[in-house]
Amino acid sequence: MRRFFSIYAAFLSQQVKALVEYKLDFLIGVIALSIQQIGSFLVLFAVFTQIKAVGGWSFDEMLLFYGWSQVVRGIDHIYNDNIWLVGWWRIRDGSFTHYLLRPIGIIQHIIMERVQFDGFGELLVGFLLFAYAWLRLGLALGPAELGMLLVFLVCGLALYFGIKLAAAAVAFWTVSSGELMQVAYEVNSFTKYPLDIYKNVWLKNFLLFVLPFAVVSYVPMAWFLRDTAALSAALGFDVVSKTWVPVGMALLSAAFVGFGFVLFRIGLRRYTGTGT
Amino acid sequence: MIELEHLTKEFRTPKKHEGLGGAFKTLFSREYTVKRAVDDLSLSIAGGESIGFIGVNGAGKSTTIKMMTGILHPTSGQCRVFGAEAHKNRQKNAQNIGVVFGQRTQLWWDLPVSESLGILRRLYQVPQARFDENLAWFKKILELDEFYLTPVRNLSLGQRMRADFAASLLHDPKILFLDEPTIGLDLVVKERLREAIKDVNKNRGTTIFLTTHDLGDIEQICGRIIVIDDGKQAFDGSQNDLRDRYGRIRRISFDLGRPGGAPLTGLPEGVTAEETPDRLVLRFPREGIRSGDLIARVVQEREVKDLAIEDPDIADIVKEIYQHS
Amino acid sequence: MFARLDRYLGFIPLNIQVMWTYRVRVLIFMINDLVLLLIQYFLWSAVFGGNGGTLGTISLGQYLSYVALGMIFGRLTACGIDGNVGGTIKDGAIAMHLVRPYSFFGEQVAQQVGFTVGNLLALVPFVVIVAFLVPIASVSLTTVALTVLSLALTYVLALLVAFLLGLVAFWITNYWGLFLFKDQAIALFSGQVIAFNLLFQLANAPSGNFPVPFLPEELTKGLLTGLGYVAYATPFPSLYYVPSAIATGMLSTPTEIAWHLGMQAFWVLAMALVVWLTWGRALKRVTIQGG
Repeated sequence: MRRFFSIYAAFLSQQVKALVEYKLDFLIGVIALSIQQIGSFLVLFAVFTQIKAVGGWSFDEMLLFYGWSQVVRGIDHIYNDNIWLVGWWRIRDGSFTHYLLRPIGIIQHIIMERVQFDGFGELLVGFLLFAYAWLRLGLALGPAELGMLLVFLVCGLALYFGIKLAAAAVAFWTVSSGELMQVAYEVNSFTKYPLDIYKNVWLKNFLLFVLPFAVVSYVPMAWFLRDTAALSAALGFDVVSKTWVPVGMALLSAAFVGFGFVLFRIGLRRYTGTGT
Repeated sequence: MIELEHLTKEFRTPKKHEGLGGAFKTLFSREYTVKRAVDDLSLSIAGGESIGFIGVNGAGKSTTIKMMTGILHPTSGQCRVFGAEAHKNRQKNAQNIGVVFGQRTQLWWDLPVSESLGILRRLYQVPQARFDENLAWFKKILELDEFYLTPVRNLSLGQRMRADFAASLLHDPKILFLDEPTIGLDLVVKERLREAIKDVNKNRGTTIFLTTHDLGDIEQICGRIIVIDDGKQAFDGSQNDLRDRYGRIRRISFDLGRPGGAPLTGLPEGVTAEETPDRLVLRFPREGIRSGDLIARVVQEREVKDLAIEDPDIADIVKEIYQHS
Repeated sequence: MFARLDRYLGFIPLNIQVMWTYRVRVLIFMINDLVLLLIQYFLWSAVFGGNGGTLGTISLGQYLSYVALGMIFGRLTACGIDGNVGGTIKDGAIAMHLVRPYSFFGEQVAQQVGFTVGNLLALVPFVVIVAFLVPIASVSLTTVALTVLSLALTYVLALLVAFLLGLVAFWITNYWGLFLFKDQAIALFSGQVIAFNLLFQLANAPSGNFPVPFLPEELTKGLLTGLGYVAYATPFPSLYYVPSAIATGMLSTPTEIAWHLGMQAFWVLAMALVVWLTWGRALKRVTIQGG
């Protein structure tokens, strides 16, 4: 672990240097991603000058969902971006073999190689919107809430991690899986708005269980905002008690991480079997 | 240090069919063509050896190296490195081997050489003192200083190879694998790399395992030569063994004072002659024919200014082996 | 430039083939579009539903048609040549193109046409899905004609903008960020996130609501109107908003339509001039400095 962080630090310092050197590129990237967020925010803003609620949620509540989804997405974007290269290129051009020649775990190696600073734009805007909404809604912020936020954050990140890893692992069979990764990832756009507005059972269940991006932002924030009955109604099944929601989320996220790892292992085994 | 026993690697590729309908067929058919890339290879390599591993393209060289480095697992047979199955101990073995692929860099494209090496130092947990020592040596022998702070993407091929070579040796590996390390390099860089490899082998006792198409590499570096052909071992021995076995043909060339007249006659059986106005070359098997006799015969017939007796070089021999395969 | 048109015709089937080669990628585009469409569909359904089915003069069906047509027209006018041109410049292959007996721009246009035809095929399943989700309103022949005219102007403008962005690669080392920037700027200022008609109506309607309490009504409305004005100062509405707005009747009075078509025509001419000037400078760079 010490080795991991020492190398991570070395890569990081390099990238900070590059960042300073190519300030303009960085700035353009961050601004571009921020514009995207401002756009989504603006739609809500304009619409809410006329109406009080969308799908039963107020403006501030919508901001809470949106803000939190961007916080999780931003952090994932920052630390776990290099895996895209595996899906798009590393297998195809053969540079993946370098990971196999190193005395360190492959996934560790992939992660520490790159920090994507563009994600800080998403994280910052997301956090500001989230914090603003949290305060406006008068939600408490004690150790219990902070603890739960941390749990939810970890669950969300784990889910992204599992999905991206599994999608990237497909490249072991198909040489390149960038497109698949992109689709799987793009589905997370649904998390910007509360699940209730998707008035279609299939889509809802898809976002809860198949590619459970609803678990990233909707479920945790609704957990703070609604009681058990309202939560059950929104999710379409009886959650019994609010305690079970984070437990279920944790299990689901763990299952996805496990799935990602297993698929990656099997794929790797195939890769070292065929060398292509 | 490296033990191969009946090592075999087969690749299965789905049978391809032509055209659009064929593409569809390919997708669903279970037919495969099996290509045996490495076929029942058995070898034993001791510490400190320097092996030249040669063969035509597609003979199975890269596949063998990949199995030895643990990137590829064998279909059958054993590939033991440091006493353990290479692919099962990949991560552990990685600490003790260095690998240079001539075609591909292991350095990070956007980082300066200095930083790439610094990161590798941490990856392999090389103590700082040892790292500094090694670095000083590389800088001297490979002249890294002139591009030490340049990002890898801006290096010329020769510079990149020197940097890659240094990168593969930082952690004092016990075995160094080199897959065509001199490909595309100019003569000066080639020479420098060869010197460095020899030095590593001699002064550090690092085992060298080298594939190349450049026979100059082999002649200068390798104490032992292994020829692989169609996945099978075709030869294993020293340079002299190789000469004895394949290099039976000796050559005498004469510089002539003036063009000769009628073709030479009275040469013993098995001698071939090739003549141009100012040069005559005789080829003959080493056994049974004495050079002195031949020279005496030529001097009678021609005005000889100068002559040279040549044993075949490795390049000639390997060319011969390849052509026979 | 098009003295010998048949020289360029070869690029068209070539590019259709290229599209077929990248059919997985095309499929991905379609799925991405579908995700975006579904999000918009449900979001706007909830929004309009919360207000009794209309916002200002716009009905839900009309707005959903705007969203769906926007996506279809967006794909139709999508340009693949900015990366093409940029890449050709980056790897120095531009020199190879300059020695050929036809214009580089013409070649790119032909490539783009092939790309569009390829895209057309990919659009079919998408259109079917849209037809399921969105009520189809009958429109007059005049509206169709005006939409087609507007769409043609959009097509030319999109092509010019893409070519220009590709040329920028001469002066910018890393244009990835620039492309991302372009995409996002287009999303915000072209009418993709919200139609301008709706935006202006929302900004001008009497409001009982202030979503952000410390922003007073005037400021809230000023901000929204301001955004609309800023957008109208850019070529982006001409790149996206106008044809769908005409087709769905959001722009309906003759004055409005004439004004918007005129705006599109203006941007086509202006952009052509910019491309022409930039190309001249870029060419000088190749021939004098060797790229």
